[in-house]
Amino acid sequence: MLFNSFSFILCFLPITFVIFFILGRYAPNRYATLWLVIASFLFYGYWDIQYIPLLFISILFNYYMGKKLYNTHSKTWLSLGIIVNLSLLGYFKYMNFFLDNINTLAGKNLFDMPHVILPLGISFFTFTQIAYLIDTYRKEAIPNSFVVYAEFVTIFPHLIAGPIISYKDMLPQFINPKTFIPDYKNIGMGLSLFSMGLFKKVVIADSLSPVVEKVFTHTDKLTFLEAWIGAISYTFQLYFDFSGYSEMAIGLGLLFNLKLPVNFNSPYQATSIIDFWRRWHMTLGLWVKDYLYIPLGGNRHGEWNKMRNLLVSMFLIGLWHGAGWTFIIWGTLHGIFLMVNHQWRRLKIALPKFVNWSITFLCVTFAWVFFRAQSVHDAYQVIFCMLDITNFAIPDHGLAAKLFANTGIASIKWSIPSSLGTSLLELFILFAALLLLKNPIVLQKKIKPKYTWLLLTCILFLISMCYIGTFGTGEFLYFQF
Amino acid sequence: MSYDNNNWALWIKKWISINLLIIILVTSFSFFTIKAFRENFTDDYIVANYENIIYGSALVDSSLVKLDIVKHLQPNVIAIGSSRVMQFRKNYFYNQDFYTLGGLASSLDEARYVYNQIKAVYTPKVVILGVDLWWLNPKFQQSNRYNRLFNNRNYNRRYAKLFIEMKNNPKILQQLLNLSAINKQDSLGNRETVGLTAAVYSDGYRLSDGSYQYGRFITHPKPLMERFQYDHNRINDEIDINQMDNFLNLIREMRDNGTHVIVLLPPFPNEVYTQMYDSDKYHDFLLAFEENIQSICNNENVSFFDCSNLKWLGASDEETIDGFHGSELAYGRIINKMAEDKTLAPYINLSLLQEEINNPVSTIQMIPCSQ
Repeated sequence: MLFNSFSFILCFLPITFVIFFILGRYAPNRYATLWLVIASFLFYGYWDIQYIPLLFISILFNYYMGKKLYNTHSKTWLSLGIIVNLSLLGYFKYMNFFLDNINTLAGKNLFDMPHVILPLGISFFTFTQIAYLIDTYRKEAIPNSFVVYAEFVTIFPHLIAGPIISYKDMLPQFINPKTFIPDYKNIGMGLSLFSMGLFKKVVIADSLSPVVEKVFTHTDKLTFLEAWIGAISYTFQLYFDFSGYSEMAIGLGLLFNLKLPVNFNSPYQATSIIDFWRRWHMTLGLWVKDYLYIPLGGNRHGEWNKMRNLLVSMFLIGLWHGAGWTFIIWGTLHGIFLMVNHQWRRLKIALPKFVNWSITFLCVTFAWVFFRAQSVHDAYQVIFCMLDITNFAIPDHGLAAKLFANTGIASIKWSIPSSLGTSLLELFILFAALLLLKNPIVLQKKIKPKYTWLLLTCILFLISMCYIGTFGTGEFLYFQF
Repeated sequence: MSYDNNNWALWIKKWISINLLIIILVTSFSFFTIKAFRENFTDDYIVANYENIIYGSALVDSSLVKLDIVKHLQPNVIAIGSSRVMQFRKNYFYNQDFYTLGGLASSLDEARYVYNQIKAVYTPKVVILGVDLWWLNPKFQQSNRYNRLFNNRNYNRRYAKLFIEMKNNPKILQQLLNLSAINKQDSLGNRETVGLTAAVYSDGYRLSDGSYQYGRFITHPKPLMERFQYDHNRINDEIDINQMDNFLNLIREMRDNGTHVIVLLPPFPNEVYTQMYDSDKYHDFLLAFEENIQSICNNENVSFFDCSNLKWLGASDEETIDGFHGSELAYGRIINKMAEDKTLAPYINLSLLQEEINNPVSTIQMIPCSQ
């Protein structure tokens, strides 16, 4: 089930919400928790019921492994737990990629492709549970009941695409009696954040989708302008899609008195790549820092090892996003950018803020091309077109054609669904909004039960509902990871 | 100023009330209008009553339901193509063993999709494949249409789409003030109308055989000159070699599946064809298109009928709907010509067909609308 579907908004959410608080009021709290777990399994099973047993067994295994680790503090059990989790992820996510590459290297079909379907959210619930095992081993997390653990893994706001949550942060909220009593401020905030996130996803991100789709499926026929419009549109689409999802998740969490961690903090305002990774998919960045970068040695053993650890961490972040060379290149590129950024800082050369911002934004945009392209070859083609200014051409009809008539500028049949003027105007407005406006998580602090907010959130919500009704329910980009 | 839980409780009540109220109002209006416009019928109802329905929706693509009907009917002869194979009628065939899926395939990809859908249920004996010029034009892409038609089949969206259509087409909005013009029965063919276009103009698919009734045109035929305004973008100076391979693969797939394929180049009026032939821009494309298709058909031993020019069929330019579409009479002549094909011939009621060609209702209609 998707957050941006009528079935979720008008049916699943109200029913789950009402029953949760009725149980919270009239029955022991564990029944309300159990209800939330059941509802979350229904939410997950709505997509494909056959993976419910997999999710359940994974939860069962990790719950008992966590107890074992807490009691024994055994490295062997920890290794076993991590290996089992990674094997599951490896089988479902990387098996095809691995075998395909062996076949390519061998030059013949040594292995038939098993055609494994990737269970939704497996990367997220695997990472969440690995963190739990490490935390219990470190005695930073104290195991509670199975139902509470199941709630931690499955609660529907974060199950499929994060934010990645930490057991030690969430447990106090799960067992707090106040969680089971409606808190109107939280509900009001939750509704506001949900409406803003919904608008970002349904109205902004999905509107950019046709342009991106067109550019990245016809990479062999792009001009300079088309390639840039495609790349920047995707840069914005991904942000509005994923941050919209995260804000909806945080808003939904608040409806149930659960404060989920913030995932985005205006990443395109970043003035360095280091700064970007402090603002983009923050919960993943934190996870990698706590459970990979620091255990690898972090920045403790000299500059060379620090650079190595950065590169390895970013390489693995790339691989985590998808079983494909495009993702690996994307992650590695960011690793290299981070290494350069760290070395540049040591030189202590101050550049104007605008220059820093421009370089950061360009690096991020170029890297997103690999992230989005269907193959490395496609990505190279888009990047080549972005760099080939000699391939500059304008549409052969419309305002641009009239303005630049008789200037000698080449004209072509425009392949992007919206006109040049509309595309540029849309991107300009989004640029301005991203650079000048505060993101909803920051705005949240200013939300008051006033008419202005009432009107604004109602308008955003109703426009989004109109879009869903008209254009249907578009999947979230991060669901594929 | 601090706000307590009561302020928030009131705010939430207002938030829910406003949103619910607007959603209920808009939805109620939409449901009422959709019903009044005769756009509220389900696919199941339409398929169950297809024999006596004319289907012309102003909100959704009406053609897709024909695929369900063909799967249900399983006729031996079917036509696959764009709107340029929509004028074939079942009356030309014995036992009316025919259905046209005209309007469903405006590109090679769509034709393949349609055939694969049918193949999954049964194997038609004969497929008349109408190949349009733009199928091999790399600059004319219809991928958006493909997605809209096949990948997003959710007719519930019509309730929201109503508002967009009202905005884009003021005539739809005005129709709300003239509900009496919405007819339950089509005045031309006496069929039950489904969809606003069918209910007001008698324009739509006769679902009994998939053919299209141009109601407005039948009642108010346009002068010849006005008919021949066509979309120049569809014709270009390139042929896509990949598309040639796709075309070859498609007819091979059909043949290997046990279907006899007849490739048809649908007709243009002589005036339009001559204009393209004489044009510097279209001349080479037109010839290359015809030659390439014919060459592939000859090599693959597939029946090929080049009916690109109405004149070649012995028809006048009066036998047209517009510059792109021949009339029922013109398509009757095409079937008459196709009777040369030994596999198709046994299905054609040639004597009846020739009698009707000689005594048509008009240059537009070969048989009465009600048949």
